[in-house]
Amino acid sequence: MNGRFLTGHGRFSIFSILFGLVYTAAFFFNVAAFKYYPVVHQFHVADQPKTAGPPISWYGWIVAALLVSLPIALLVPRRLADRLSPTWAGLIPAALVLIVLIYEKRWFF
Amino acid sequence: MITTLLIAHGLLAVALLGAITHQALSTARRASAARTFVGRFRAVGAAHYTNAIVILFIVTSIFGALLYPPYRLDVRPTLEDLDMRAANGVFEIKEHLAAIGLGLLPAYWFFWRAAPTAESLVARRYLTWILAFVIWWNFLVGHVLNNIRGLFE
Repeated sequence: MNGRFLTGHGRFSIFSILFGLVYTAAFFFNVAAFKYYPVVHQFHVADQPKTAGPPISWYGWIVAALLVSLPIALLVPRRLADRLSPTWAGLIPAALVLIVLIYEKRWFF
Repeated sequence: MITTLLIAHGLLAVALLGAITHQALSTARRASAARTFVGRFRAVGAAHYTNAIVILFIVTSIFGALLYPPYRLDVRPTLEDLDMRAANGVFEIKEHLAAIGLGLLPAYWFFWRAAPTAESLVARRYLTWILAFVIWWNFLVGHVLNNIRGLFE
């Protein structure tokens, strides 16, 4: 501890918070880094015709979240990152879980 | 091959479930005297589970990712044909929670390694309980979907 802030946690917290936020935004707006077409065993950035079968966007959403959150977490100066309260690292992911549950209730009603 | 992968995925999930449940309950409140089953269950060296939980979560997720294409091609169309919207819905939630859980792991790992200060203990408790919820949800949904024909047909 430096007297005011817990040291070292900032980059870890920023990564975890951003990853969840970007993933949630990616699936909400269906923006994937790529899609996998299991019928033809191919990855594509652009949407394919229906003959390629149903796509899987999940891998692409995760990679999109990683590509955004990792560089930002590494580039933010450590001293600045550590000013973030550790509580946010728990609160924001908890809120994201709640948002996912609320959004996906469309399957049940 | 798929069956082997599915069984391995399930076994890893059981180990993960046990580890996270021990750890989450240990953070619930100060461990009571280890006289009861629950007291003994809670009175574990919770920090020692952290690395195992991180590794198990990642490996279980990789196995789940490998099983996704057969699910998308074989299971999901069957559920749609049977008009089981809720079953597809719980799987959608499972995939989102797995992703959010993967993203949580670095912060979770850090706060279990950090010196226990008042603020790090709060973050540790939040993150552990979120992961516990994710793991329990995914475990139960995985098993229900795996057995859904026997359960609901």
